[in-house]
Amino acid sequence: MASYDSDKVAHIHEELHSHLPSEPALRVKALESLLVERGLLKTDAVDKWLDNFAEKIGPKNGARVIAKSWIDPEFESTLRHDAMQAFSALGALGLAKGGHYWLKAVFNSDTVHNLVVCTLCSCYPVALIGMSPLWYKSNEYRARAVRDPRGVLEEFGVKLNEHVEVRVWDSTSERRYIVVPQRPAGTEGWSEDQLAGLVTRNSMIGTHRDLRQGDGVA
Amino acid sequence: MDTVHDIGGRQGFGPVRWQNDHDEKAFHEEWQARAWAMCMCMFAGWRGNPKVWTLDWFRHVRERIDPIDYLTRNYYDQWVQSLAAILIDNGTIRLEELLPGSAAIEDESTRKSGSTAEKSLTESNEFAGGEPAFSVGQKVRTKISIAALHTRLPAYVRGRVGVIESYHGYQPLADASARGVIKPESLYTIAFAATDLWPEAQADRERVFIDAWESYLEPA
Repeated sequence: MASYDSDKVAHIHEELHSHLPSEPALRVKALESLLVERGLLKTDAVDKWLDNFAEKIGPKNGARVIAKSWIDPEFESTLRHDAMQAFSALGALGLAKGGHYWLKAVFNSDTVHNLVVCTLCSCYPVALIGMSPLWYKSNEYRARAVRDPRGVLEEFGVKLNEHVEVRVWDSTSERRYIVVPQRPAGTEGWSEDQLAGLVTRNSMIGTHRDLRQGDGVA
Repeated sequence: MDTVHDIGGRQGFGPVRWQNDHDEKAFHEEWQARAWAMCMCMFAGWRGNPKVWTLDWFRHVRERIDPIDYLTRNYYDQWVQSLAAILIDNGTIRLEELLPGSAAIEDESTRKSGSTAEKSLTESNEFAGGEPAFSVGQKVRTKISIAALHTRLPAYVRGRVGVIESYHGYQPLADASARGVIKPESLYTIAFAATDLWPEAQADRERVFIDAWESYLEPA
């Protein structure tokens, strides 16, 4: 049973800091071995989890959904109003399958650019599009995205015109956000697979705006 | 609690690092993947059992890491330390068992004494029900003071005026979940003009959206 005692865990942190080996890989190994020994974790649980994750989850899930929304206006409307329904329709629910999950798709346009952050921790639609990139969890990004979004975007090579409004979404509840980038010009007649191949992970977070051939994840 | 984790809008941080981190590479070292997967496996077993664990309790436990460690130690390293702290707190393991050379022998007496330290949760799960207090388009001011140990109202929006952008029905209040209490409350998305948050912001160029529970808000 958890104590839910904040000061107690702060003290435990101090003890762990003082006594455990400084090499994180060793700490991970010690904890995993202990949990397996105690029967709290099956021997192969971690490997199975990682295999399952690698197989079912990743930015490709998001790329497929976005590509379909570019060529199918009805599907775009579904994505706009009920993003989980859109992911479900393509069998792209990943680890969110069967569970309660909440996703909001925010759409870029000629006059709007969206950027997603979690200033308080690291909330991200992991269950659908996989682990977030390292920079997303960094102090620099978390501190600056809400205050200097244009500066952050420039570091990622995104230069916005003055008239483009930036909307920054700080993930402070269990709702998760995904950015729907604009379909690039000159892709008329492309197949869904070809279009999905343009979508990058960063574009689904908002640190990439103008998609180009060869950049994508699918 | 105003710990160092609440860094939105803090100045002095340099360029965002690792921005060219390749799309397909989720983890840079194997231990990081294992650390994360181990946490996910344990959470999966605890989910839906607030006597043992809530996600907001985990978040709060990470927030209680020493501030210097919080800002400097690897993200996954912080997860493992938080998982270890949770397991020690709830009496599942003892610190000594994690030390190098530990035999990790089950010690019944310690485990029992651990269980006597358990605190029963006196607060029952609460559900207020009723209509949402605010409507879409309405101006609201976020509270200045938040007494909870864990809250999802970031410091940078406190006391500021925003507009209700959307309403999402009842969701468990994070501040209560972090104490093991499931208390559904109206959840909204609030839009703030950047000029209402930051002195250097220019008009009509940026807006910041947060999700906020009803108890974070008052009419403006």
